[in-house]
Amino acid sequence: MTKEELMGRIKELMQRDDTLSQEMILQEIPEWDSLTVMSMVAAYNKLFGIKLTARAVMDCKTVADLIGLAGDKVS
Amino acid sequence: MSKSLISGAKISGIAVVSADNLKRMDDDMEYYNGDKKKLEKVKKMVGLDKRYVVDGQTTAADLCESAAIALINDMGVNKEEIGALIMVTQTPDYFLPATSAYLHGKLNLSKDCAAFDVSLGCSGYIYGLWLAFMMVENKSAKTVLLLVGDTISKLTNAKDKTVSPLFGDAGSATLIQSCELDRKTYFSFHTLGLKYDRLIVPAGAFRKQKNQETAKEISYGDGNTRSAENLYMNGAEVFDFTLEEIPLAIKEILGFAGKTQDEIDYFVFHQANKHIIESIAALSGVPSEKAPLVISEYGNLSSVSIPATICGAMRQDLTGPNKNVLMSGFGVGLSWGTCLLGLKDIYCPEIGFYKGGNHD
Repeated sequence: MTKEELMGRIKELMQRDDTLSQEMILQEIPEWDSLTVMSMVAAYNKLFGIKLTARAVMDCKTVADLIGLAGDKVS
Repeated sequence: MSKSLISGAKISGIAVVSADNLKRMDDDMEYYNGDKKKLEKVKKMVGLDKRYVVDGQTTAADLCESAAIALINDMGVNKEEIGALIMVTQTPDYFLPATSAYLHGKLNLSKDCAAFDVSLGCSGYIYGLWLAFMMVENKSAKTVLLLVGDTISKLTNAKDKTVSPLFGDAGSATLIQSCELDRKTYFSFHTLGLKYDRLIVPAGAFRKQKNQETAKEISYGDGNTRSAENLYMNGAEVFDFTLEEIPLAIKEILGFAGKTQDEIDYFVFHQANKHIIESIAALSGVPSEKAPLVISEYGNLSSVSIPATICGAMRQDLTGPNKNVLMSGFGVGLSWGTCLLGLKDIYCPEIGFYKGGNHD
């Protein structure tokens, strides 16, 4: 999966209509909430077989950090 | 000890009484600043829609009393044979005496009857069953009445969205009796006491008694408001704990019982949150149709979630041949209990609604 594709998935999980960029600070995105954190955990497990904790997702500062959690599964 | 195998005891009947004041998620719009999109997201993901709460005078004991009366009358139970009454609650009537003693009197049970309380929440039904099954197995009692009830709505702050929209109030009564020795029931229990403060009401008992400070409502950065006398939950940590431990506990009990997952007809999970239940099921390879949900109908009922799921979603399937059922309760403590048992010919009426009573 490419970074752009994953970003599209993250946008869907957030249920965000506006665009998303890697530099965006999660805390400043209105759609970023605890429900999205839960969906991220489930999505990474389903997409990549990666078991994340909610804590690890909440420790992310930017969209790029979220993509970083996928490691070498994205190119 | 964390595992136990018990022979010769069974559940004969379960009755659940829900509180009667309906609350709908849509009524809570004000707490979401009118953000309908967010509210719909919560409804869809957490599975919340309806829940029922008690009025100021009604307690868990009242709901349990009502469930117990229904069960005893409908099943024609001889009260003299009830050798023990166990009350599982985290919302007792009094600091003392035990709520079980109050209920023993209200139900007019025999003097030859043990009665005690157990202070557990989400794992409480499994603990209650375990104690009751042990008493029947070692012949301490022929019949045990297990009452499990909570009114968590009395502990939440309406302005705290992390807990308030989740919880409904209910009480239940379960009858445990002796049966043929080849019926085996498996239990396992775990505790993570270092995380005792991840789900907690910090003030009001004896570690921190109520005062002006503890009553003060504090607004937190996440937009939620509560006092130290209200229920607090660290949602992220409880979520992580659940997804890490519960799939392991399921694997453990299946191994202990020498059963495979296909041999299990139902996986009854504590109704914490729809997304959590679906995630545990997915991680454990359990098909979703084997993991019934009643959270949209009643909310998270604390220790009553498991009996409410049985009476709410499985009752028609429990009057015939044996069903293998795995029950999993997890949460406050942090504490989790798992049970694998056979259910057949169970008296299990539809969930009733509390009709009031005399509060004295």
